[in-house]
Amino acid sequence: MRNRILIIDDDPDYVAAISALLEAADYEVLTAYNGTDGLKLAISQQPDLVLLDVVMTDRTEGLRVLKEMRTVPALEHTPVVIISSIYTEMPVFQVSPDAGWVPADLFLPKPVDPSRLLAEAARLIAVHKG
Amino acid sequence: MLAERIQWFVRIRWAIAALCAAAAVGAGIGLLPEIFDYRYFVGTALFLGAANLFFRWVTARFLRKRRLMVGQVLVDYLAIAVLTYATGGTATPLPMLFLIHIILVSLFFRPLTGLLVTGLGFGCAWVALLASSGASFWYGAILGSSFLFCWYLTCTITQSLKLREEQLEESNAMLERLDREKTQATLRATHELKAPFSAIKSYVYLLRDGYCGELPAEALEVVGRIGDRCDRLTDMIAAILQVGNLRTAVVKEDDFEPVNLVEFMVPEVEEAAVLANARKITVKAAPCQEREIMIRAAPRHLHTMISNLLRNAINYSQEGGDIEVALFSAKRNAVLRITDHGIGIAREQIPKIFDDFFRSTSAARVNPNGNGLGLTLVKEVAKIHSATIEVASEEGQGTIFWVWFPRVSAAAQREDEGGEPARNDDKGEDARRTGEVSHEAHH
Repeated sequence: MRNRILIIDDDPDYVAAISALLEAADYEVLTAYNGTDGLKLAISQQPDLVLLDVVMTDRTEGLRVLKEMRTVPALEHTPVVIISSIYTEMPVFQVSPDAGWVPADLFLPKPVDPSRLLAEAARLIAVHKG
Repeated sequence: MLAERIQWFVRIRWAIAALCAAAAVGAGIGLLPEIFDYRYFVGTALFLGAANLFFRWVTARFLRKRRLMVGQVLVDYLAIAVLTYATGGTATPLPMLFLIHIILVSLFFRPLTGLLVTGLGFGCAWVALLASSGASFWYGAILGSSFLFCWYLTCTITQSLKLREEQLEESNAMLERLDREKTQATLRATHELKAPFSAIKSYVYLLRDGYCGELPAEALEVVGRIGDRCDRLTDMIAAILQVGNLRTAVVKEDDFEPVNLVEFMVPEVEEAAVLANARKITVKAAPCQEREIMIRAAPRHLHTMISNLLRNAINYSQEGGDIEVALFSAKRNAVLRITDHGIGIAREQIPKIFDDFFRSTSAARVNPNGNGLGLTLVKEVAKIHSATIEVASEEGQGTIFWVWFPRVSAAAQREDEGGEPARNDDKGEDARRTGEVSHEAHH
């Protein structure tokens, strides 16, 4: 059974590009273009990994979705990668996992290098599945 | 502020008590005219001393300072009235001492309280004058009018100042709100402008790495160019927004902190050395004589300035060249000097190098990818730090940039971390102006 990755991002072109990359690497890809749909999909489909944007309909939508995800028992330990350009735009706004207050597993700046994304996705899913 | 004024009055009261004691001695041994009865002076000195001690005790335990002030005014009125009586009424200008209290109360209390204190002061003065020398009706009328005029003038000025203060506070709150909204709008604009490039770059990555099938070499080269152009546009958007931000943002005091330039420069030089290494350029830091050179700086902006200056030196140095970074203090300034031996700048173009999007002919030839905003950013950051930039350059020989920051002394830093930076006054009058840029066409 193929591993399932959920992409939550409001940019359809970006979602299409990342979907093509992940599908080429034999992942099953689910997509959502806002936080609300993303959360519903995460609860119903229980993906093995979530790629999450931060700035969507509102400035911190991704962070809100992440916090809500962690309150759902089935998604409590699902690995989440925040992929956003917010870090380069506002370096003082610490959204990296090192900052301690964002319950994500990894932060990657957008646009992300394909080989790095694939390597990190494989690693996080392997760790999660034990 | 009110507490400060009350302290003045407490000190003045001690001084008056001492003067009264001296006057009592003078009157007792016959140094003063017979009319001065030493008992009044002794009584006033003791009364004022006791009152001061009482006020100190009460302040520490029970009453708020504002209420206490009215009590102090009443004590002083009594003392002045006794002294006025004891010194012969109209013979001395003592009744005018009531005016000080009228002004003070009118400054800090409502007009009606001020009017009551004025009336009470006039009453005390009038009783003392009548009891001692029997002042005339006209003297009383002039004294009363002076008191009333003083009260009216102080109240009018105070009300107008209060109104201005309220208007200023309102304007300040509005500016802060606008600044917050602008920051949010800028963040949103940056994000929206950069988002399409992230998508394009992601497609470029797919093509480049063969996820959409193998591409011929020519196509790969074109894809590479699209990616490079994409990066340059993203950088330019970021730079334009950053310049706009620096020019229009209300600079917040919170952004600034004491920064030890000696420590701050270490990672900056290391980072530049890594970049320079790719072109076999050496970046070396000249030995610094001091362990600590403190300035007040916004670290994020300071990094933008220094990294831009260093990147410029690297970009316009020949392969195998060398760059020297020196740091020293000169009286009240911290001076950063960056020297390269690269292509230099033509004499006539030096005054334009800090202009938006300006690229010197030689710079455009050597590094066609520059966006012409690096030195604009440097100038804007210098401006918000009250720093001065100097440039000396000769075409084909190299360029030297000096940045003169106002230095913060260790004592001033300890005393008040939020204080004003020292004035940049080690150099000529022209160079003192904020964000001033001066140029020389030779080393």
